[in-house]
Amino acid sequence: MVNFGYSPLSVHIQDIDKVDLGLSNQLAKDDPSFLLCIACGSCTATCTAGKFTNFSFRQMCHSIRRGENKLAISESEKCMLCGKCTLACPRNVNTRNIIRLVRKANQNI
Amino acid sequence: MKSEGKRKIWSDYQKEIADDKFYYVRSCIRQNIWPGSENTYLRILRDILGKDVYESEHHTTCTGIGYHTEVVPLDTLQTVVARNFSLMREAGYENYNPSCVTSFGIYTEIFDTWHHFPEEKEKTRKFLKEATGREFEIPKNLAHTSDVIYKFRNEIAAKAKYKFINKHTGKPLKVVDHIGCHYAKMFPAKGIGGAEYPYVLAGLVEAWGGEVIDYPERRHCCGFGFRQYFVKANRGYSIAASKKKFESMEPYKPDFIITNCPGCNYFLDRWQYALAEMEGKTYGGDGYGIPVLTYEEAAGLVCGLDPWEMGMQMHQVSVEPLLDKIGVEYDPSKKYKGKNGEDLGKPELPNNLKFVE
Amino acid sequence: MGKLFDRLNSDVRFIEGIKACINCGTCTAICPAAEVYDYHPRNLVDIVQSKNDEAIEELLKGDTIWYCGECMSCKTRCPRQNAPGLVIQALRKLSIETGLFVESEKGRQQLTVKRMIGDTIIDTGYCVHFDHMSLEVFPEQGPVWQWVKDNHNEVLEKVGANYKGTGPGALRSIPKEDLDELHKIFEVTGGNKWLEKIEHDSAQKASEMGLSYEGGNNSQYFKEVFTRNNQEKHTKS
Repeated sequence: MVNFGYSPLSVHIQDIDKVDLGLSNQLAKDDPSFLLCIACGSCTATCTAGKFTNFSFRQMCHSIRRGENKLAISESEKCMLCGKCTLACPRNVNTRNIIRLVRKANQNI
Repeated sequence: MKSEGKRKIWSDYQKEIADDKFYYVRSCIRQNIWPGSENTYLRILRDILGKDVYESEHHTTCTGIGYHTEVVPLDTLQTVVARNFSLMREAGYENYNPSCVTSFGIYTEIFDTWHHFPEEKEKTRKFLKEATGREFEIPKNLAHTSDVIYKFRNEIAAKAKYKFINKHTGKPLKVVDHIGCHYAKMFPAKGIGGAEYPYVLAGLVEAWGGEVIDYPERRHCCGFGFRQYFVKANRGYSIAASKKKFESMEPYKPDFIITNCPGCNYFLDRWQYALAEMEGKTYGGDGYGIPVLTYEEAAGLVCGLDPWEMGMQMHQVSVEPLLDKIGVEYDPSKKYKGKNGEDLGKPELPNNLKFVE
Repeated sequence: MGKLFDRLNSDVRFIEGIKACINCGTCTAICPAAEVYDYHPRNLVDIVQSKNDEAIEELLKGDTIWYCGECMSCKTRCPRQNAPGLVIQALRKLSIETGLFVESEKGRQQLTVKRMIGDTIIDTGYCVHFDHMSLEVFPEQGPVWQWVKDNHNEVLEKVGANYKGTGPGALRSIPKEDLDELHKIFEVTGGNKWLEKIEHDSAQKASEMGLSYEGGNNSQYFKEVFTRNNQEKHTKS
């Protein structure tokens, strides 16, 4: 193979037809409010843990939908389960429960 | 949704295109890499359609690539463009007809800027006067060269020597189009069909017997990204974008790619070679890759022009498999000959991409 | 309202580029650069919209603003008709004006595009020129390009170009009086100053980094900025 001095990058490219959406599907089944998220970021804006770490619930949900499950699970560890985001969510997503389910999924893996 | 329905919805995205007396402005990239395509455009308009197309030797680059690599400031860009408009007025023409999508985007952006910020236009007037003593007027009509071909697509179809139909199966050829980001993504109403259902090339393909495939990544950028290609360190970005497109179009088995923008044409052609050499992967099934045609070349084939006079030997992805499908009569021995038949040797064969010598 | 923000806000592209951003992230979803870099136009617009000068200065010094390819895909899909791509153009302009572009790996690349595109415009009246397009710099052009280069007179004649000829036509020599007008425009509109500024700041940075610096593309600094790619840093996320 010829070396051109560079190669195609694929860092954040996720092929939704090929990635593992198991976690996403499981969450939708266990807590259908997961499906209501519109990624507005109110959760992240109000997040207590987010004040001290780069934790973002919005980003975590996004990762789950992209099949980046490992990343999502490690992110979920940063949450303090204070539940403030549950009050802020305009779509009544049971955010706190979603975190619990993500962590539980980790234990099951 | 049926394509008829789509067309009705997008009737907003139709534009006015002049029908004669064009002031033709060349593209830096097209002249350098696909000079035969520019010549083909002039042959089709002048010789086949009998139009008046004027070209001035005095126009320069619009500096658009410089602008998008941040080496040319906005004031300079606007003034250089105004000078080109001034030349048109001097020549007695009103219908500006650029052959470059980056340029076309620059003009649409400048018109919009001047509309919202008239002071920018006045500043440009002042700069141009000071630098060159010239005055300028905004063109009455702005149409990209492919818009003009689109306007006359049915006239061309009526004179067609060939159609985009597979000679062996009798079925329409499957074509993917790539219109180039700056044609309609900035100002969708300025491009035929807009940015989501671009019709400027699809209209040509349909008029000439082919079938357009609306594949998932049809609207994705080819990855030029200006500095993202010119600087070697960034080329991984550039090739990744085209690769994404190839992966997405591959399952639809397209017979060829038709492009609007000279840069995109270059990337979709050359990145297939680079991917074949880097990763051993060729798109298009038979190992030759998917031929990539400019709309001028596509129109020229339909009109029966000689592929080698149109410069199709300058492609890295061989076009012969496509010519054979259409049934174009051509002389393979003339591919690497000069105008007077002189032997020019042959390009070296790539390692992985099959290539017709 | 900080000073850097005011300067951004005097750029027409910035005014056009942000009306009220709602941070929905559609731009990031569509962005080709976001696929390969740690780059989020949503986030970037959020920072700029905060009018926080410290944060804006970080942007001007950093790699982030140079990831964009200016394809403007973001403009098409933005539900508020914003254009992060235009905001980028304003940020890049300010980064060059303040000289902060030399503080990042991607920003330093400005020297290479200045020499490859800027100087070509001044010398030839074209953004890119046939004579400069070697396989050494652009290996992906493939063997067919080598063949074209080796036989350029015959090939270009056959396809109807007017290579270095007089009068109209593809690849003609642009007449001297027209290049003179072009140069005058660059002088009057600040184009020359702009090019000189890129050279000047790059030369300074080269000496700071202890790299040799001269015209052309052989100096250590030019080679460094043309090929340096700390991909790990650009995609850490």
